[in-house]
Amino acid sequence: MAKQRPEHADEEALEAYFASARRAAPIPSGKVMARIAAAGEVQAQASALPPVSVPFSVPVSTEAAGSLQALIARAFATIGGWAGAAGLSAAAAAGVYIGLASPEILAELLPVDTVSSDALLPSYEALLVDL
Amino acid sequence: MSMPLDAETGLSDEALLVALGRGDQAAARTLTLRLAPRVMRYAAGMLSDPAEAEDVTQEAMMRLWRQAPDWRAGEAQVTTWLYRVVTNLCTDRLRQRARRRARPLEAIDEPPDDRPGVDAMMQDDARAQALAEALALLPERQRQAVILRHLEGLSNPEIAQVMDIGVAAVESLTARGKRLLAARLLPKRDELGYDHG
Repeated sequence: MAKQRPEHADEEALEAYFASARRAAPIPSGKVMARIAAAGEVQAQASALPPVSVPFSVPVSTEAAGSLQALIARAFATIGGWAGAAGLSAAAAAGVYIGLASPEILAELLPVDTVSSDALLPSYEALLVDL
Repeated sequence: MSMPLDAETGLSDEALLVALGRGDQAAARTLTLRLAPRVMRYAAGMLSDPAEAEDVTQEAMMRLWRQAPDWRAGEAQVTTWLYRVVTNLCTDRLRQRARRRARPLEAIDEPPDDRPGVDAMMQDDARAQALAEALALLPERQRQAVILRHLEGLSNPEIAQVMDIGVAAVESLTARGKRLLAARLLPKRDELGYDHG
């Protein structure tokens, strides 16, 4: 048997170490694998949703623009888009009107008889009775 | 680096990532099974710490998921991109470790007192442990090149891409790294059960 050159013998010996290391390599725990896969599935779900369009732009710094626009877009989508925004505006305007209008006008607008708010409060006359 | 194929679907890593980016949840599971163990092995080799390697594995895979919707087919191989991310994460941790000096090299060199004797360990584990200790003593770039070449099986041009250097530099790093490993490991052959050829 021909004697091996020292460098070749060293290469072979090192390769045995590498092979052992490949066989004995640590692997992620089942929990970690499950967590990684779950995060990937969440990403896939999020990717499957239609993109939310931002109907207007806000002049902010470029660094903050992405997160702020995304926030506005999410808030806009949450209230139901343009239809929701219109409804909210109408409700806000009605609130302002009711707040400013006199009670008489409000009473005319309501279809039922109203009671004044002090009629709903408990009487304090009992406290004045001598014991 | 060969393009890994899924046995059932025949899809490449890239095709699966693009599918994930379009809402395919099964692609996440397949990619996890395929890539996470590789990432962990590389990170463990770089950090010599399985717990830290597991953290890096999670972080790298999360970054891959976030990349999925914007992945542009044909621009880069998924594994090359992933090895780069893992390299950066490991480098950050090694720098933090060096700053904290929580784990001086002397501590890596000497096994802890309660470590089981080499005789009691499986040969693979003993050799893997010896290699990990020797790798930990290499300069970072040499360690990275040696691991990518000899544990991960990447070609020199692929390593050059991951490390962002030339092929000649990769060859030089691996050659120097292996010389240091041989000088450290080969005198231990007797105790690790190697026959002299």
